[in-house]
Amino acid sequence: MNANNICNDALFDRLYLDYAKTLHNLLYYRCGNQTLAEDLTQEAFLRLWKNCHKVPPEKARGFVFTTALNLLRDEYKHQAVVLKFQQIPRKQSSNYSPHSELEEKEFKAKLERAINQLPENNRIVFLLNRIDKRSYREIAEMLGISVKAVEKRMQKALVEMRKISKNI
Amino acid sequence: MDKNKQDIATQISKWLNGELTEVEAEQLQQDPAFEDFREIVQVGEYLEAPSFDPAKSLQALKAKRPKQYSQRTRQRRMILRLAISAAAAIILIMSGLWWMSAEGGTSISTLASQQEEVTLPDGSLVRLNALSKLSFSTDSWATNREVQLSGEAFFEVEKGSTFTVLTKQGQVEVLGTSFNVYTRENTLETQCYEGKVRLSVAAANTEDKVLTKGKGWSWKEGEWRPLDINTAKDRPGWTSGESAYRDTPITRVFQDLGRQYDKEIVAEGLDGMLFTGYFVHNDLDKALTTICGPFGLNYEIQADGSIMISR
Repeated sequence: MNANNICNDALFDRLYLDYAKTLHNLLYYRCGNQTLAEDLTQEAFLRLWKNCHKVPPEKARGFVFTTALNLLRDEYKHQAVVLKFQQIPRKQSSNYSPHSELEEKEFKAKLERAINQLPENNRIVFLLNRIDKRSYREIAEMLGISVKAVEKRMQKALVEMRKISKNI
Repeated sequence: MDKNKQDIATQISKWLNGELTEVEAEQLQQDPAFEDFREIVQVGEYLEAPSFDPAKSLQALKAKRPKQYSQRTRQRRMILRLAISAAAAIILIMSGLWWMSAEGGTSISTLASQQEEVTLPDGSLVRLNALSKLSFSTDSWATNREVQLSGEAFFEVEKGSTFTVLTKQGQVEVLGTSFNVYTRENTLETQCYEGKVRLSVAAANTEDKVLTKGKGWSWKEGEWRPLDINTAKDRPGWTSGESAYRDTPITRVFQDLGRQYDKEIVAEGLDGMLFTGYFVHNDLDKALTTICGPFGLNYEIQADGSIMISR
């Protein structure tokens, strides 16, 4: 029966639209290669599709994330990555003291450099929470670690970011 | 490390997960030590990840993905497929060779020490190595690019619909790319020289391998082994007169040599010897020497033309 499995378009599409971006970002934060991140995201969902009869809908997200991370492990050796971020245009209303446009640009570049110096595990948790707005519980599920571990990695990332930005 | 800063960081970490009460959160933000962290915590207001358009990506995915059917339809299609296979088998048996040479099917075989270049209906090129066989159907090429291979061949596939190479141990799927397939006995190997290749093996609970340029995988007796490719080249050495190997069991090298020169090679008790190097296709003595040399082996050409390898 099609009703309860992912083999129907509506359910599959919904899954993709809900999770693909986060998965892509997670992969990007780990390897710094956008093409690879996109390819592996699609590949993981392709495999979900191929196994749509065997994977119950509630396990779909876990399947996709685990598959993608395993594929990444095969493809990619841990190396220094350089992540590039898009700068969000300067807002008109800010609740902090207004900087000049140049100052803000330099500040954002500084942030980007600091992020790139974070150790990989802490960096991923930091970015998923602060940029992708994922809760610790979601991050824990994605990475297969405990919520406490996520909390610890966030704490380390914060300490490290502060140390780095003081030295730049 | 300043203990106070660590404590603040721990508090902030809890705060970001919504674990602090409103009062505790207020206190945290009033703490002078918090200032240093304020802008770090607000990074989400300055930066965002590189663009990714889920809708567009989904479109692209749907183009690649195979069709799905309901359980009942799949069963019906399977029964239909079986019925058609049975009918086709009967027709085949009755027609014998005549069917193979009719317009639909084409089959090309190479003998020992023979290589052959085949052009497929869409312009894709296949170079067959010695003792190999390639089969495909010209009629159904437009709708389904599928070939059967036994032996070894180097493919240069035109961009287009999925191109599938069926072998005894599994299948190789590509979308316009160049790659090498070796399928003999119980071994299936694929090396990718350009583009992207998907390798599926006929074994339960085994993941497909997706290969990009410079990657290779070998499937033998239920095990995957990665292969090295010389990425400076854009095609395997055997297509231009030299078979190259890296850490390959020497028995395999001798087998390939035998096929290349059309000679029977008797090589026993050489387990564990791994050969790195290459042999030429135009000088038997030179070829034998390059392989035997590093291991201190001797070769002897017998009266019946076969070659005996000994320590």
